[in-house]
Formats: sequence, C-alpha cells, structure tokens
Amino acid sequence: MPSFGPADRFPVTQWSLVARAGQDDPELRRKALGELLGRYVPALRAHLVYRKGVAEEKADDLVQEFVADKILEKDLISRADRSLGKLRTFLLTALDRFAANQFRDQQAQKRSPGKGRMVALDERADGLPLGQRPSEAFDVAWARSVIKEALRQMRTECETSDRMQLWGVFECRVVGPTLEGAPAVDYGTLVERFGFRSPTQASNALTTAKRMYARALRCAVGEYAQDEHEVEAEIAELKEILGRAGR
Amino acid sequence: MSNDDIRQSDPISLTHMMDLDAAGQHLWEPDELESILAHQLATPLECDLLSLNAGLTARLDELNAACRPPIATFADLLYHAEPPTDLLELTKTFAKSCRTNRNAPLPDEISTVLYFLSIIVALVKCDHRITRMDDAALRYSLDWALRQPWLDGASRALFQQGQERLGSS
Repeated sequence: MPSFGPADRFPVTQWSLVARAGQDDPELRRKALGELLGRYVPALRAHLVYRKGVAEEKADDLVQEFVADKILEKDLISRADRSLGKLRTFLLTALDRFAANQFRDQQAQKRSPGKGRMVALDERADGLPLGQRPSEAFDVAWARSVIKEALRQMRTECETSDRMQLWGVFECRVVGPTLEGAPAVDYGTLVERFGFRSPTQASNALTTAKRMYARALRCAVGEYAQDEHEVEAEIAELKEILGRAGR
Repeated sequence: MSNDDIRQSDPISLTHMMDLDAAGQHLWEPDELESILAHQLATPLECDLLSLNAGLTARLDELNAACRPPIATFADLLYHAEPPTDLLELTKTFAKSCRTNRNAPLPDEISTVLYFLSIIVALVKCDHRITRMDDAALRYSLDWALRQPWLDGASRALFQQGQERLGSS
C-alpha cells in the first residue's frame, strides 16, 4: 500500500512559460508561447464570438492569425511592458486592436471589386449559457482553461509519480461531482477500487490530492502571472468572475 | 473527465475548482459520519485501547466479573450507568491521539465526538472531571457536537445531559 507523505511539489517558477518565451532562441520562444497561448485560444475565440459578434468560423481564423502573425511572428509578448498589466488583459486589448484593424482592412477591401465581407462588431448572447453576459465570455472561458490546465498538470504529476490513486480519489470525490454532477463515490467503494487500508486512509488521500490540485492551480496561473501576489489575486479574481457569471 | 465537462459546467460549479482552501472542505458526508460513529461505538475497546494499556484485558475481565451489564465495546462503556472513569480516561487519550495523528483510524469529527463523550460521561455519570477545560470551553464543544446532524440519539442525549449539568453549575 502506498504511503501518503507530503505530495511532491510542482515547479514554483513564476512566469515560467512567459519567461522562456522571452529567451533569445526564437524556436524555443515560439514553442513556449505557442504552448501557453494554445490553452487560452477558447477564451480569445469566445471574446470574438460573443463580445464582438464575429461568426464562429471567422473567429477561429482570426484567433489563429492573431496568435501566429501578431504574437508569434511579431513577438508581441517579449516586447510587451509587463508593468502595464496582466497577460490576460494585455492579450484581450491586443486582440481587440488586431480585430479592429482586420475589420477596417476588410471594409476597405470590400469597396474593391471581388472582395468579401468579414465581421460585424456587435455583442451577441445566443450560444452563451442563460444569464451570462457577452462581456464575461472571455474571462469565464479563460477561467475554464486555467482549471483544465491545473487538472491536466495534476493528473500528469500523479502519473509520473505513480500515485494514480490520488487522482482517482480526487476524480471520484471532487471532479466528478463538481464538473459532471455525479454523486460522490463513497469511501467504502474507494477502498475497494484503489486498495486503501481503510476509509480514513482514503479520506487522507483526498486531503493530499486537494492540496496537490491547489498547487497545480497556482502553477497554471503562475505560468502567466508575474509573482506570488499576482497569482493569488488572479485566482481570487477568476473565482469572483465565475461567481458573478453564475448568478 | 473530458474537455466538454469543463466547457459545459456552470460557472458556479467551477468556482469550487478555484477554491484553494482544501482543508476547509468537508471530507465526509453526514451519512458516512453516522456510519463511522456507529461502527466505532460497536468496536470492542480492546481493538483500540489495548495499545495504550497492556493490562486492559485483565481490567475488563475484573470489571465484567463484578458489574452488569458487561463492558466490551465503546457503546457499552459510554452508555453504562456506572462507567469506570479509568476507561473513560483511556478513551479520551485514544480520541486525542487520533486528532493529532494524520494516519489515525478515525476522521477528526468522530474522534472529537468520542473525546467529548468520554469527558461528559465522566462528569454526568461519575461526577468526575477528567479534563482541565473550563465550563465555557466545554459548553462550546457540546454545542458543536449537538449541531452535528449525524450524531446518534444516545450520544445526543448524553451531550444534552452535559449541557444541563454545565448550565446549572
């Protein structure tokens, strides 16, 4: 039976991906940035669709162009002044500017023969969950991506440290009930399924798993936040955004 | 868990996934605590207390030869009309050790109830104080215990007797 000592720590380096993105090796920089931005493409897309009224297929193209041309090719992030604010806000502002420029160019081309139209920049609520405002779509989608990334990191950590029973308990008692509305699996079943000695040992494993997830969440946010203080503030803000969007 | 689960979950559910106060979250459902308490009360004293007192078996033999009904389980001891205080103190020591040991066999809620039950039973039935806690601290703990929905009827009655006793002192 495995022991449940303090869980292995996730790397605590802040700005790890964004910092790597600022390194001199262009290939490494592109890879790191592509990895980071890939996680938040759904948020950028949601902003264009719901806040800016861009057609869904056009939004996909626009986000791809934004990431490939503006961020990766023109190296927008390494030239950005981090003191101006959070990466989340920075990306949103840059995307808005990029979309507006694209729209303006398209409008100009529309006046030329043979050119098609592009987008209308109006909010729309259809397709959004009931009660959620278009202005919240980006932040809610961002929060979802952070949670998804934290869960991915935690699962990977459990796999590599050969402690999948921690992930199993977390999935049965937290992830399933929270994200899927599934009933929490009782401890007796967890004992049988994961080979714990007793229900109490299973509950201790859950405590360890929750701490592990908390670290993974901080790590996921830490990849784009500047310091510990910003990590905590960002998590609190995302939580508030989700709470507001759910009302 | 799929990406769709995250995409489709309502934002309020997702706030729980942003909650880092893992220690503050309940680990056990009330019906689970009710079952664990019932199981613990039905457990023979020797299972948990023998490691704290090697002479326990002889002491139980001696007691059971002299008093009726016999005492074998925690329930027998705590619900006995004249429980021996040395065994109540041993129960209290066991419960306290569970609270301080992360790998203890009992959830914190159950060891807390067991701890205060032993104190209250000693006070109410033996007129003997086996704690240095003052009345205000005890009353606070009894109030907490009585708020637990999973507490069994007999234990609840004991805590209520404790409240009355402390209220009049």
